[in-house]
Amino acid sequence: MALAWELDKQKVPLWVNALISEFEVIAPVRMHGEEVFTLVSDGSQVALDYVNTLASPKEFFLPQFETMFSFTTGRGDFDIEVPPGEEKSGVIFGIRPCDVNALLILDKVFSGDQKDNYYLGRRDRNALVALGCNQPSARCFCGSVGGGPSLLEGFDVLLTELGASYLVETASARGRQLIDKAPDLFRKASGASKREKRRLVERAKRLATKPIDPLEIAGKMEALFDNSKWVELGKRCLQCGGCTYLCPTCWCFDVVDRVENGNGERLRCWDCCLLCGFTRMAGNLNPRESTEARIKQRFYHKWDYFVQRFGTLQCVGCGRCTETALCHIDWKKVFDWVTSEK
Amino acid sequence: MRIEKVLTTCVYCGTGCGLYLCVDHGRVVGIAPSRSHPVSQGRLCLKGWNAHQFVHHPQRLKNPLIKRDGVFAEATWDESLDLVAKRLSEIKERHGSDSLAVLSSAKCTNEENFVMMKFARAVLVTNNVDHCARLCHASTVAGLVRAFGSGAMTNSITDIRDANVILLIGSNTTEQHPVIAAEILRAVDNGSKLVIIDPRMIQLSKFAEMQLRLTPGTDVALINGLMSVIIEEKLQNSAFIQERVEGFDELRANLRRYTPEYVEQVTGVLANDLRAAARLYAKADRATVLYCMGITQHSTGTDNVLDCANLAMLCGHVGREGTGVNPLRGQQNVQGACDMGALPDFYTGYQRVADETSRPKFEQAWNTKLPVKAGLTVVEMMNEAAEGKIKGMYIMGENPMLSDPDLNHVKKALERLDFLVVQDIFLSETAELADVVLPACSFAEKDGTFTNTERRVQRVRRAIGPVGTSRSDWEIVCDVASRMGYKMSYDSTETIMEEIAALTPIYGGIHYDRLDDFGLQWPCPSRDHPGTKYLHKGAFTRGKGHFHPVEYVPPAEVTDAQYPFILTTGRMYYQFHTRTMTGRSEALNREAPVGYVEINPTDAEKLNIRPGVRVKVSSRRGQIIANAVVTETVPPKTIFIPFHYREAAANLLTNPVLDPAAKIPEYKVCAASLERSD
Repeated sequence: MALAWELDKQKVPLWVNALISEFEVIAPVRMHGEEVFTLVSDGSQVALDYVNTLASPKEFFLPQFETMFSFTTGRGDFDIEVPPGEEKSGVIFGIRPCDVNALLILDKVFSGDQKDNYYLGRRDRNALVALGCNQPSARCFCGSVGGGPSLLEGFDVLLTELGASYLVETASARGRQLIDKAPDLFRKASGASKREKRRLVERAKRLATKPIDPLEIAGKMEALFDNSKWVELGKRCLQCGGCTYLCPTCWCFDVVDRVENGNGERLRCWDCCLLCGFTRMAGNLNPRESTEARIKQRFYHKWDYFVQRFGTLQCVGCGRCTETALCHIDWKKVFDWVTSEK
Repeated sequence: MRIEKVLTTCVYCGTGCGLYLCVDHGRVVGIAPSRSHPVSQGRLCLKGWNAHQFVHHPQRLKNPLIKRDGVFAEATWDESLDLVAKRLSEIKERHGSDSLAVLSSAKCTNEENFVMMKFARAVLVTNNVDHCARLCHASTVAGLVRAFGSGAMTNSITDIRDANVILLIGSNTTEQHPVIAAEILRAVDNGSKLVIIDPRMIQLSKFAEMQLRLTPGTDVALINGLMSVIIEEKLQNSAFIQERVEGFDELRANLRRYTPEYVEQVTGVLANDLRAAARLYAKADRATVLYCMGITQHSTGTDNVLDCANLAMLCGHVGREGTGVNPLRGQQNVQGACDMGALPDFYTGYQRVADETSRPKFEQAWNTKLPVKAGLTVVEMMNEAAEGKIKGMYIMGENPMLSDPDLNHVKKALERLDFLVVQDIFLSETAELADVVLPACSFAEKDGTFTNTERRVQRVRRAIGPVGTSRSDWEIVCDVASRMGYKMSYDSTETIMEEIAALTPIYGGIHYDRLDDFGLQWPCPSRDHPGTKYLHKGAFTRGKGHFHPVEYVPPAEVTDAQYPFILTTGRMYYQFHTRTMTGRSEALNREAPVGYVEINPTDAEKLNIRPGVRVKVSSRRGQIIANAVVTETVPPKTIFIPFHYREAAANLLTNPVLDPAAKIPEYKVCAASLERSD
């Protein structure tokens, strides 16, 4: 059972300041009329009254462009230097349930047989202070895919907005330590507050789209494999990459070497399955030559193949793909089309 | 990761999308779109998403280079700047100011362009200053200034949503302006009709009501044909014409011979398709013309632009939301570089050098006598350099060794110079020919403003420190100026903008404190002016709009037995201009690493060309080898080559013939031959 406190809203900056003294704190900050996750230097910068950011905090675990190691060549051998990890531990403050659930999906991928120490190192070093979702937006379909709005696991601390205060629950020793940085700010949660939280969670669930079994979704996808809808969608794709780059559950990356005068860097950068080069092989042969084949791959990977492999969808229903894509493909509508399949 | 985010403006095309640079320990490690940005609205194209990749590329120039005995060696800033100042001063002294020429840059900020054009005029004392707008939209400026009084996109990008009919001419929008293409797609989704005029099939063709696939170079005949149908069927907006436009009788008289049947013979577009397109455009409540280099890059480019303006005025489709004549500008600050007077005949804000009231104003502000004689344009500079009349050049952030027509000629010209200084972020093909190379900061390392295609002046923000010892272009130019004896010094780019605002009526209200979020659209004449979403409301900038009757003239070079193919050149999605940046962005370059030539299947079959084989393309000026792409995208007897690639440089083939008014070369049409090279 999680431990619970209450924190008055106006004390949030004080708590964040206490955290900043020991951690790198990443939180949503309002700039230029929108909220973005960024490093904060003062608690007053943190803006928790937001729906969700356009970019998820994925980049703090899997950066878009990352030096894996540097090397020098010559005399037939290599000297390799792996960059040191960050010195300070971090706190991702105010992350939404869908984005926590997205990290749990990435965990499955990066902690399989091949451990990705870059990603896992950052997961270890960063605590998650999640912010419960009381009001899913019109774009979200988290309820149907298990991405939210409730959050049951994966967080160190969970905040739930209760009017003038937050209910603060911890789920780990690390979470408890974050409270202990400024214990005087918190008071023990009352029974009424806990009941209010349960009421808000139930209400959010009712507002969200209704849950559907992942296996049922995967089954419907299989029935639709030869549907002409995919051709229609493929025709629209402008290959902007936005749907994959902004997707909190897309992890594909490319690995490139940059070598100049015997000094080299091995880098990895986000990749995108909508691009022709993603699957192009020697001799220009390509199993997914058409945009139709590629966009279909993305839908099937998310809503079918991943289910077969891991038992969950590779989608948290955040709707960022719909918001950012140049092609104006509405993933929620496609999802509704799939799930309405008899 | 301790990523911090800094809002700036994308460095690629003229759309001017807002994006955040994600900075970790002084390195740009990613990009995030800006949701609140009025143009991009949370969207980016693949180039924008990867605009960080070249910033820390190991080939970035980190120190000045001086060439000695044909080999570059790193040098100190002091030594290099002294040498540049000394050599430019010597040439000026010995051969006169007009033996020097400057290429400013559509890739640099407004402030840098302003400083560079001031340097040319006040320090070198020549109007020989131009930039690559000459090669893309010079005909737009020449044409629209004559027709309307203002040479810029009349409306705003989001206005496209309000148009009932979109006439898209010579723009492969999904590849060159993807975020604008997204607006077109949205409009079509909401019921707008899209009419495309283009010889090539493009992705948007699938969403078009109809496409008129004209023979390259027959645009005037086609547009005259549209207008002739409109007048024949009395679909013109007579009230608008009577109230707001002059010269209708002359226009009408000129159109008589452009019957749909005659136009079909010239353009290859069926008479009935022409009629249908004319009706759609004319009958729409709000119709917009969007055009790009398919219109401008012809020896008749100015006529093509004038005809677009004629068409819009004929139907009253200008001066309202969702209408207008809208050139899509190519580089992220090509609009701004023009606005800043990096042009041989204009100061800032299109104030003419020849105008006896403009020049004294600048002379007084700069406390020096300014040259009167109009300067040379890009291609003219190369011609005079080849003839030995231009002795020294200062090229900032441009790469004519890949972007200008007839590269063999350009190479001869640059090699003949007594002195060439190139300022860039990478050692470009042009920089390789320089005597001195000065390393400049990239967009991530400097402050300033860019002006996008819809006239929006937006901030560029420094997110990281300079790479190596590189410096902002304006700082370098100021230092050279001061060493040449004319003190130029500003404490920030904001101070430069204050000088711009004081001298430039359309930028009069542009101040940094007003640009914090997403900028202002000029004209913005005063501090309290909100900026201008669309031009020519109620009246044209020049008062009455002016119809300019234009006649169809064939391209300068037509096909013959020796060169039986029409070669048309252009750009593609994954690369940008001469690839100095995208060629060093792995995510982009992987998609299209090598040059190619598009060939229609019927031609490929006749010549026994299979997809992927190497083919030789020749013109009267040169030849290249490239991979064959066999595709219905191009019509028979027409081939297309993207100009980005050094190894298969389309501009070795192109014809340097110029539009007489705008001096833009005819990149879109020349005659070529094609054969297998194995």
